[in-house]
Amino acid sequence: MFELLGIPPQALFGQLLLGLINGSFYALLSLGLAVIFGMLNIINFTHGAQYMMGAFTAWLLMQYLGIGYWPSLIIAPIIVGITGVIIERTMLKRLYHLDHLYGLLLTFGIALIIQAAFRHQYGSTGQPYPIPAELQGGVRLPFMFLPYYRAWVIVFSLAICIATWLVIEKTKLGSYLRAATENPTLVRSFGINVPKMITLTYGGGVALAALAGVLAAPIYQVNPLMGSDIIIVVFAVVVIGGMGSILGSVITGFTLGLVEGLTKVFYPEASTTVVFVIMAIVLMIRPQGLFGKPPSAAGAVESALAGSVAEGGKTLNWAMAAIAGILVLAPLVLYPQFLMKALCLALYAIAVNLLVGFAGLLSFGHAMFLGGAGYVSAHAAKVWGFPPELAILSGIAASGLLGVLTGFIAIRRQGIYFSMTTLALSQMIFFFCLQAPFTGGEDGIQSVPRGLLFGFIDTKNQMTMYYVVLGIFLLTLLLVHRIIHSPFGEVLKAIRENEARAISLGYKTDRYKMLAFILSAMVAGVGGATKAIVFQLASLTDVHWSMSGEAVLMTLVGGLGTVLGPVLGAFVIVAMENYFAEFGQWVTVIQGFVFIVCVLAFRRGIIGEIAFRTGKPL
Amino acid sequence: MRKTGLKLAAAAAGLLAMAAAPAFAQYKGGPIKIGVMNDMSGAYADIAGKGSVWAAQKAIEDFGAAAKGMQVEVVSADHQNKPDVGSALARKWIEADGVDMISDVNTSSVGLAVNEVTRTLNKAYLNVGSATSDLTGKACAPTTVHWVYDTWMLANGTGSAVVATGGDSWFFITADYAFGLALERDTEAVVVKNGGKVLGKVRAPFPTADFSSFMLQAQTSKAKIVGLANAGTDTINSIKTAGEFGLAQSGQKLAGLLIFISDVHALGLKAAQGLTFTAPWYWDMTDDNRAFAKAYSAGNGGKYPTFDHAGVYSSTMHYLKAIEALGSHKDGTAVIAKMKEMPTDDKLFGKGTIRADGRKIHDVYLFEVKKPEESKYPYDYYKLKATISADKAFRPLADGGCPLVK
Repeated sequence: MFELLGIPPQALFGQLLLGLINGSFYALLSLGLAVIFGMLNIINFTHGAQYMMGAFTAWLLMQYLGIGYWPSLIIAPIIVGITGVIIERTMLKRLYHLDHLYGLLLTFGIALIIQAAFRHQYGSTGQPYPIPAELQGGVRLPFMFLPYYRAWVIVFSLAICIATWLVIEKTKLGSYLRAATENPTLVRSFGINVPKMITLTYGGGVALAALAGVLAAPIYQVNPLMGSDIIIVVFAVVVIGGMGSILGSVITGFTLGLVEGLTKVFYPEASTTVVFVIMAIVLMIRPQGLFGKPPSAAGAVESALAGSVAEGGKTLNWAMAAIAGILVLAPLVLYPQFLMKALCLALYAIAVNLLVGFAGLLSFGHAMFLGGAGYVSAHAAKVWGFPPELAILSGIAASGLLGVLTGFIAIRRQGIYFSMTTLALSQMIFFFCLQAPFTGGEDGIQSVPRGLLFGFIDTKNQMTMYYVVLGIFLLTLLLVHRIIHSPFGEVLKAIRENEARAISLGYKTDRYKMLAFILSAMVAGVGGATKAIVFQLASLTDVHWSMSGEAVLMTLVGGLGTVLGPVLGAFVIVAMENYFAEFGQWVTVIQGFVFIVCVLAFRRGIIGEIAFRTGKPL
Repeated sequence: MRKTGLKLAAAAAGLLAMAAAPAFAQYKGGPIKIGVMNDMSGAYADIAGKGSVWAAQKAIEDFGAAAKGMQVEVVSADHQNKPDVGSALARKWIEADGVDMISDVNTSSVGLAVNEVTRTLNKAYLNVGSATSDLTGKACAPTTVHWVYDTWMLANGTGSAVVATGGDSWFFITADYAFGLALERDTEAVVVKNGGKVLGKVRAPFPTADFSSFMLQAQTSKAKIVGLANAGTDTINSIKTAGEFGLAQSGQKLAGLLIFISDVHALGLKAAQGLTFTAPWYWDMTDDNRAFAKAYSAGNGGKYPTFDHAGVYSSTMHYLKAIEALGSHKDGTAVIAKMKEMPTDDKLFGKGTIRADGRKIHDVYLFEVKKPEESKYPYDYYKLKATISADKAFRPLADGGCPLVK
């Protein structure tokens, strides 16, 4: 029998079919996400949780009311859709005039709370849901055994995708919707109730997610966490297909299922990463996605974000001096370990803020610099026996180098496309860290020696270590402060405000953005490298995408685009993680709640709010 | 009449004991603080989680700590399966909150991270939940005891039993991270040693929701046994998919390498039946176990205890006995040395010992999941197939490479 690329063609057929089945889940989910993005301009991060809610609703209906699979296929999406309508009416509608980022953060917070509530009620192991009697068993095809249920999944989701597409493209309602996206004011003036339409669209998108959940219930465990990982893949599908393009998301969903299926045969370890590789490539070649319209309003994203950047004045200098003073005395009252973690992460948040506040670039992938520097510095200290100062320097150098490589790709893009590119790159770095032998895989690099700084300062003493970290922190902060207010910083601000004008003034804007990117990577690297030495540990947590999200959270809580905001934000978030750990399972609920409150009530962040009230830039 | 007499005698004995209690030496070491740290919010929250806190408290109560003048407080926290969170928490507990002993800590990467903190700060560490055999191997510490199970034990028990019953060709579906790889490596060694062979393996990213592609690869391999070197939700989804794709009809059997009763409960017997695996404890084996399970169930919303919960109970009990004998609990190395010196004996694990490398040893069992019609009452899930005696169940002392073993 002839073999194709080392595996028999029969097996290949089977794998392709399975890929297509998985692709139908991606298609259904990304369809809902695309509809919501297209109509509401909201990146719905709750989508994964709503998919889970669909599966759980089906399970609850069966468990308590004896309602079987077929009715659930209709009832569950309606119920979950209604909860979506409530979310839209009470919270989301306040965000339409704002940047994508806020919608994303709010829905992320909601997702955290929903997941925690279900986990609290039903445990983390999940619940079984039987395959409906009509679809049990399967058929033995020449190349594989195909369960009837999987065949049903593919047929049904294709039908739903086509139906949705037809509704939006070919019906009157669909044309209203499309018109409302283009120009809501005009559509309203024709007497059409636009807000109601938007609400129903969100409900519909959410119902699609729930429908996918009901479809998934019989084959996967009905688990409170089932949506938390799929969301990021689906997100990538939507970006590849073209944000807001319905046809694009459906075709991409199926295609990526196929590609993932093939990867599972030839290089299974990479099967969850391949999506991000494709995303990075697509963003490089065709940033608007395969089926998307060219980005016209990309510039609006940044300017909306960087509304109030501190110009720095006397107040700021005084505030910085005061903070330095407090930090010198802090370990007398507060636990030094906690302070050190907060300082390291504050550097990390400063790095992210530097890019977004002063260059208008919001990075979703900074974990790669934090974690990457951590690994290199831990490896240098442990395996090469470097003293701490050299270990940290190696870490910074490594993150700088990584910044050069990734910056070369990322800075060509703007707005949400820049964010997505950095996310994709950081997912690849995560994969590298998982696979590379020197990182120790999941265990990370443990028991990293602290050693003697400059050959005579013994960092094993907690207090000594603290003042070393504080020194590093203050030096970096001062350096960043200087750079921001140098001519270089002024050019950056000019680019952020109006890139075209900066170009016409003769500035090579790409070169400036590149420098800012590398600088930011290195500042994050300082935090990561120091953290590895302080905690004597480098692990996958620091390269995971949720860490990138945490940086955004810190910046947001503290105040986007302020100098001191990220520092305070880091302290608040680390304090929550540290002092709320005793609340055990409630930590994520509290975090979710903070997200929501911040987005709805304190969008300027703590420092931003103070600066706004006092009228002094901080 | 006779019964009443017995009761009277018991009551009298009880009164005597109570009267005599103050005559015993009261514990002079000061208040004791135990920190239970595990995953309370993630994928493994049902395996350990709040139930472990309950188990530690139950041990303190059964030990009669209060009557002995021991003031024991239990604190708990969620390490979120992140080694850095776990290590920072452990340090804070010991340095700032005065915690004397850290218990449970599931998830190997976090377990190893906490091990370094307790070693450095010289506090007792009774790990129950981690699977990694490195804790008593190259990472062993004079402050650490590893209580219930490890990857070597699981691999050895399941691997040799399955090969002995004719399952001599294997295909592995392995979770692609340190724990899965260790489990696969250890099992493969056992399979090959017993004359079996490994036809193929696939490394599934962790976590994976859809195992259909990997099941198809397993079917194509024609191996008799499909070994699942994964845990929690991954295992559950693999088993479900195997059922859906008719693995049994194609003459293949599943071997679970790490199965908790919460997994079987979540799967349901219809999907899980026939699964063979190794475990160190099951609630329905002795009257004491059943009583423990009943109390656990009453205190934890009807759930039944996993072997992790039993291990927390058993290890806390032995810890309290050791510090009582020692008269103090501040020096972690001394406490662990005392624990190693005293033979262990508790209601749930019976008699056992702790080796020089920190490995607690006891009998372990090979179980098979019952068919739905064989199950008579809630959580009646396992059939005992074989008992592996304590001296054979764990990695030989000399093979671990632990520096404490001379």
